[in-house]
Amino acid sequence: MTTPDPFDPFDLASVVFDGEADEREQHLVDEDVHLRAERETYRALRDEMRSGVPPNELLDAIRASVLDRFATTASPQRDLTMAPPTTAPVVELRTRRRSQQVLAAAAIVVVVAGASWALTQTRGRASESATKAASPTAHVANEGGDRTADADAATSTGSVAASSGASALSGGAASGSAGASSPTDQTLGGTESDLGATTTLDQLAALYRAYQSHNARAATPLSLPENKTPASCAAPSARAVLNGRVVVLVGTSAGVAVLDAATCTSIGEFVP
Amino acid sequence: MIDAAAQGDRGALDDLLRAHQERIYTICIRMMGNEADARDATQEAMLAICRGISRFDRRSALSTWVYRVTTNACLDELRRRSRRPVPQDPPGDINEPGAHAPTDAVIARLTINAALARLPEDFRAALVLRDIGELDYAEIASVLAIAPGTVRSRIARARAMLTQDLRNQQSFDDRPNP
Repeated sequence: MTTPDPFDPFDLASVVFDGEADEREQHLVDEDVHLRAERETYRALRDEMRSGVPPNELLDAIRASVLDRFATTASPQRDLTMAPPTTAPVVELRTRRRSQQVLAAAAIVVVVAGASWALTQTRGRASESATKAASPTAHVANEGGDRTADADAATSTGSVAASSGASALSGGAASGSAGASSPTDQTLGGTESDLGATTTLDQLAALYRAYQSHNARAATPLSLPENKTPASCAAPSARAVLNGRVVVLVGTSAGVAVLDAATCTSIGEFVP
Repeated sequence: MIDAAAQGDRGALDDLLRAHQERIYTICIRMMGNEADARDATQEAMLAICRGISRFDRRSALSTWVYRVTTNACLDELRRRSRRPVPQDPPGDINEPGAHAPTDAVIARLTINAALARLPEDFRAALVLRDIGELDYAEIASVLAIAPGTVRSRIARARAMLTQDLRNQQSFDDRPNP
């Protein structure tokens, strides 16, 4: 708190002029001709500050405009029929933030689940032959039947690599899907999940992880959209729109490759 | 009237705004320093009053609440416009007839706007609420969320700076032409 200087002449004249002075202060000003003159200056100043009111027409126009604006924005019909109010972006931001939090939580679940699953797989495969592990292409070709059968179930049980003679996938298609132990190269029965639209590779990766997390928990396969991927991009596990560009996600030995759906050229990759 | 206005009754809101519009505008012109910005601030203040009247808790006088809303609207406008130069009304009017005596210089309206605009916002707000809003120190302290002692010193310093500024301006204007 600022403590006024009791001997400051400006403060004395000001506080007396405002009628907020005590008797001593009032007396000091009354006895001093200069302070009295200062007080009168403040009075002239105040009178001038209060002057200069614009014509009533202007104020009436402003008032009418405000009332119209208020009636428009306050009406419930406005909310239903007009463009969103200015608070809409705040709601969108909150929703987006909540979605990001859900995605982040889902990503954590995926990482934990993936780590434990990988540990289990490593232990379970300790007795498998080295040849099978060193020949991922052949391995993938063999596992094609499992992919078309039920990828969700395979993911949840960790039995993606279980062998099956059925070969729904062509050898060429399987060639891009080395690393059978990775859940990203499961092609979901010839169709891929539509992950929606994103703007960055990181967001796409987060969406993919969230999808994988959901997929791992699901007891039944997801209802997936029609596969519109060109043959040369076969074996995609998902598709999405990245910056307005339709892309497909294909599992690789290094992670997940993001390819342009139209040209199958690589856009980027991420580790699931 | 307040109850009806709080219910959104247009007639009541119209009456409420009409009763305070001159003071609202005067606060705005003194706070903003020019008419264009004052009109914008007046609109924003009136709109805020319409939107907020239902939350008026009657713990203070309606006029105090109205001036609080108006002052906040002005401060918001000033903050929004702080990144661009504040337009000043043309200084030529300080030579209007009769503006030669010190008292006349003080009452030269456009000059006083310019001098007010040179005050720090916090000082200006306290002085405007006192001299135009006619709020006492305790009410101003409440509006500006500062201590009453701070209100007292800010008003005193604002007046001292303002009168000094106007006197300097008068001295400048009174210099003989070479």
